[in-house]
Amino acid sequence: MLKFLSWTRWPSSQERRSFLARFATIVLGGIAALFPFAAGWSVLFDPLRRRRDANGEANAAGFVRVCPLDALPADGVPRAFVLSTDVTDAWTRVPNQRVGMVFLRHVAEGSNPRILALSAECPHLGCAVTFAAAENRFECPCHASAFGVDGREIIGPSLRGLDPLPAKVVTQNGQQEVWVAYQRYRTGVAERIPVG
Amino acid sequence: MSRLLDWLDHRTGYRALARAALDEQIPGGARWRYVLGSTLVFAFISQAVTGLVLWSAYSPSSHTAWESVYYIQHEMTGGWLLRGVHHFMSHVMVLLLAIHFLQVVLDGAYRAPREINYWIGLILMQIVLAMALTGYLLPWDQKGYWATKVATNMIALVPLVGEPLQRLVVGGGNYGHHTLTRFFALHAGVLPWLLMLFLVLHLAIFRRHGLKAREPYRGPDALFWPDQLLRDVVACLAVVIVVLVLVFQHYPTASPEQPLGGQLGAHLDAPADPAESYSSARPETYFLFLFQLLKYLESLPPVVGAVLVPALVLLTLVLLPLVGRWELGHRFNVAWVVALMAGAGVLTLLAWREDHSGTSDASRHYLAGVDAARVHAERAVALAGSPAGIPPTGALAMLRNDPKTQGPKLFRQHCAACHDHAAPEGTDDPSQNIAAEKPSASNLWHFGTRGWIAGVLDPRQVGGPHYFGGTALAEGDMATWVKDALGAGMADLAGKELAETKRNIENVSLALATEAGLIREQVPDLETRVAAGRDAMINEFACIDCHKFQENGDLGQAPDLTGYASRAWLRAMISNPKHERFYPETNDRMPAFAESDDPDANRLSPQELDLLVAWLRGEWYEPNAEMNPPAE
Repeated sequence: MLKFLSWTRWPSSQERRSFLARFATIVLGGIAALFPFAAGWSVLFDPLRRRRDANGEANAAGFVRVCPLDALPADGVPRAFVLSTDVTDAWTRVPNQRVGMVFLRHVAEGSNPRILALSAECPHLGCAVTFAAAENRFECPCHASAFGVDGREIIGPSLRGLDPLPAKVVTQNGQQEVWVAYQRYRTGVAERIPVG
Repeated sequence: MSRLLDWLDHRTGYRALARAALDEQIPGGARWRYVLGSTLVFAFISQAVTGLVLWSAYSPSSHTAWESVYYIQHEMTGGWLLRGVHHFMSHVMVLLLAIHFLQVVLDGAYRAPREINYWIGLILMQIVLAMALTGYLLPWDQKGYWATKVATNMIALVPLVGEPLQRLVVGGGNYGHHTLTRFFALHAGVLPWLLMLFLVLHLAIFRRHGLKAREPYRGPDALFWPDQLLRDVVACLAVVIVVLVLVFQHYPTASPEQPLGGQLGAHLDAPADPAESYSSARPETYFLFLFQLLKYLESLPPVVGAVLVPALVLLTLVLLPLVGRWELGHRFNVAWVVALMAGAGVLTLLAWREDHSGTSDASRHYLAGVDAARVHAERAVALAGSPAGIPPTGALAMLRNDPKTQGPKLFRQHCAACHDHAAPEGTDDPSQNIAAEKPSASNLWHFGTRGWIAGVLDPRQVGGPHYFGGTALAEGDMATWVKDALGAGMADLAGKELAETKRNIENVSLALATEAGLIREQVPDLETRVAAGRDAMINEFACIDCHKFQENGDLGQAPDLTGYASRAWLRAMISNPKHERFYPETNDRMPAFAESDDPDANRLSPQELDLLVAWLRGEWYEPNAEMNPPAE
């Protein structure tokens, strides 16, 4: 069987034979041992290759409708809204799934309505911030970061202010509606680096 | 370097450990026949590694198991390779196990003082088989589901404890979420740990007694390292090559345009469906002999073939070392085990031949089942990969909402007593081709399209079997009019007039197919021709004398041509053909399928009606189709 390996029985040089046998055993054994890892490698590291995850899908969808304009108080007090869009979560395609929360402020600018949209995800480490009406500021329940009503950082460990999201007012069927493009950014850093 | 190793050895004693592991005496020198144990250990480690990675992507529940395995196989990079390696390594492992067992018996390695290690080996064999069995169910596809159902029903046949035992394994009375969570816990938790435990014992005891060398010795004694180990790793690489050949076996015929996941590695059947019969359910190859045995023992109570015979055979295997105390007993053992192995081999071959011969009804039935399952599986994968994807309710709900899959079933059940859905010969997909039990009403193939309507307006066809032939309408006003006005009337025409009338009939077909919304091909001057067709229906052919068409004519005599064969029209027609919009007087047999406002009182649910209508109109998703029907 396997004649080509007959050098393992080379009679002339015991030492040479033994060295070759050891060398071949280590090399071939290494290959065999690596085999199952090689088979699993690309599946294990699949997420690194797959950049468009659930929220990447939301990005591709762009703007989604959030609420009618008159749902926002005209005096600029922030209101929290849930953002829903079609989501692909691995194998499941979920229509109209909640993907995140956003604070909307109606900032009057003459007769033109302007919307300030702030992601409710704390830029520090991703907890959901709440609006404290008494202090007129956003507060993070996890590590006590606080942000002004315009999103600017006031105190706490966050390295940047709340992340503004693109927002626009669309008139549809005679009704003014607020549309927002959802985006998540990497937390814990001063720059805004999109995630997804 | 050597000082560093000295330092390490001083603290860990690794050299002594390595020496103890590697300086095993091989009496009579290293030989190829001693490699089997190592290949089995290698196969197990490979299964553990690939299994852990599969675990990282698998989700055990009846709504996610098939879906996650689909995702591994068809979406994740290299997933088909990983799954293929895990699947075929299990086959190779069972085969190696059988050879290892045979060798132990032939060489007498089960005899004193190695009896206990032999029994541990038998336990290991049962664990490996149990892992193979539990793994078969985990993808939750049709073949795994139906085959494993048989296996767990066998458990119930065990005397006294069978029924509770079955409930424990299945996680209740029926297959569901807990069947998967429990099988997964067994497959990836309990059984591998048991296997490791007994494997350690097996190896420790093996080292205590040493290798049972085959006489006569071929040379001086040798050490495990490196000579025997070299042979072992070469054998392991051979196992790798065999597994890769199995994974890539369809590579030569694979299409480069299609994703490899659908063509290579382990096959994934359609999602498990308790309501979808599966006539090609078979256990994995290495259990086929048991399957075949059951067929031969059919006249006996089920418990005999499923439990008693296997248990007795296993008992004889347990008793081998006791019988083997005498030389004659050893010879008997060898004969018995060889006979068992040969018997299992013959049974496996017989099972395979009975299924694949194609000469018996049973075999043809099986092969047709295999074909149907393949088509069904391809459809499931196509839908899962469609833009609509797999809904949160799972792949089974997705398939149950697919007109292409459900339409033929609904049609067979409700319509095919009288109606054909028969394609002209040699065209289209045979799975959509349905012959009526007793054709006595119109052929609904491509109903409402321009071709179908052209047939109604053809004097040679209107009274024929594809249209009104078998119905009360065969001698009715429409058939008479077509034969007289179009048939006899056109016989007098010639030249330009004849061509013009023919073109006008075509225009009517186009106008009606436009009502249906079923013109999918490019037609030059379509708008002008449809306008001309509508005009001809009102003036030249005076269809509106009997039919209502848009604002012209009245209901009551003949079916409404407004929106003819559109979704709404078909839904209303099937719901109640006796309605004044359709055939209040001339409907001879067709039942009303959804007449009542109460959906429970109807033959067809609203969802079934929608599926049937969409199917009749050819509205379903096709991968790679240029244009897919819009969702309603």
